[in-house]
Amino acid sequence: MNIADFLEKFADDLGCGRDEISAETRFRELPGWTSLQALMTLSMIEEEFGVLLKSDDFKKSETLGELFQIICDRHS
Amino acid sequence: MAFLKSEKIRIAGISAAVPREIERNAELSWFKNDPAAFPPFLENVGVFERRVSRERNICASDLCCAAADNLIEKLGWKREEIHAVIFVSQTADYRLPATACLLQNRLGLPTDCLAFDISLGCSGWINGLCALAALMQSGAGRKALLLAGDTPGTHLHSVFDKSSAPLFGDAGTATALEFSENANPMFFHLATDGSGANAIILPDGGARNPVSENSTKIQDLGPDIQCSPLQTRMNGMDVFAFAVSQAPKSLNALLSHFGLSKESANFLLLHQANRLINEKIRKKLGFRPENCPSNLKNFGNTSCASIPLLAVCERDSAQWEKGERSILACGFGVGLSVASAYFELDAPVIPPLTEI
Repeated sequence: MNIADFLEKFADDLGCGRDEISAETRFRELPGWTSLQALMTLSMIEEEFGVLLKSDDFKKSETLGELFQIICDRHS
Repeated sequence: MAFLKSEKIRIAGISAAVPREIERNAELSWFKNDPAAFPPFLENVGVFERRVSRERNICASDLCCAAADNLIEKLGWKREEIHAVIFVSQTADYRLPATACLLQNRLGLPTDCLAFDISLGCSGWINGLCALAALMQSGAGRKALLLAGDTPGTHLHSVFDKSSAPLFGDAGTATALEFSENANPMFFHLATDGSGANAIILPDGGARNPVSENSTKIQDLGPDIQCSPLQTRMNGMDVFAFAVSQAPKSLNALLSHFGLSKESANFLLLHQANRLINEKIRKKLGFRPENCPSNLKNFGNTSCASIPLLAVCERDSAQWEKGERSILACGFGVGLSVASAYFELDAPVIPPLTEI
């Protein structure tokens, strides 16, 4: 699993351009980021990476890179 | 893991009642001020409107009573033949006595009648069905009523809480159970994870945090989330995570333990909380949309009334009264608690929805 995959799927879900986001993106500041979007992201991560995150994981993440790191840690 | 099987108990009928007042989500302030936010909400959450009764203060017991009166009449049952009533709800009339006792009286049931409450929400109907069937097998009468109802829209959720106000609606249901020599068995799987208690909790008013002046004060829990300690606060993400992982687990455990095949189930009836959750569960179990009905759009999340209300809503398309249907059902949520069941509906009496 690589971060490019994750970012692409994230952009897809949010409906933004792939070039508009990166590992450094602070996802809460994205236009269109709502609690609903958070749920959809959780759902996408579960489906695509087989990892079920908790609300705490989102709380302690600022950037998409940090979120992806948790996915990697959880996966192994 | 609790796996239970009940024999010779048949679901004779199911009925439901809702308040006639409709609250439409598009008219709530958050969506009125930002109409573009409504379509994604409708697409992912799925609730267009709900029933609540803020002015008339109709209780779950009132709705269950109306549903029960209607069902008893349509079944042609005599009240003196009913010897057990279980009321499932998290919006009981009073902290005590148990609402089931009040209902024994209101419904004119005999005094030698078993009556108690089960305090569970989303997993409540299946838990209640399991408990009542088990008690009947032990001799608690040949005819019994499972009354499952909740008024979360009117009584539990803050109108200033965007994360929950648009989700919840009120409903009351009655399920009639009878002893029947030829009935197909019912199968159950029940599971609980109390570590998730804070995912859905109404903090004050119990013994842990008795009602105080502070209880009525509205607190700011985040953007667009204002509620008092006498109202339910929900961590949507944790409930979502629980539902999408534990509901399929429970359903598969049930099927596997009892050697049941999901291919023989005609319908998958899921607790109605959120369209995204249910779509995930449906896909994981491999059911087609037409076999996994929903009534989220018009009734929202009605807590323990959800699954029986769904059966009533589907009466025209499913035509339950015409024959035998195998049902796979799952309720999941507050507790955190999950319950799955596999049972037959063998030409039960399911009258049209009552509005009061």
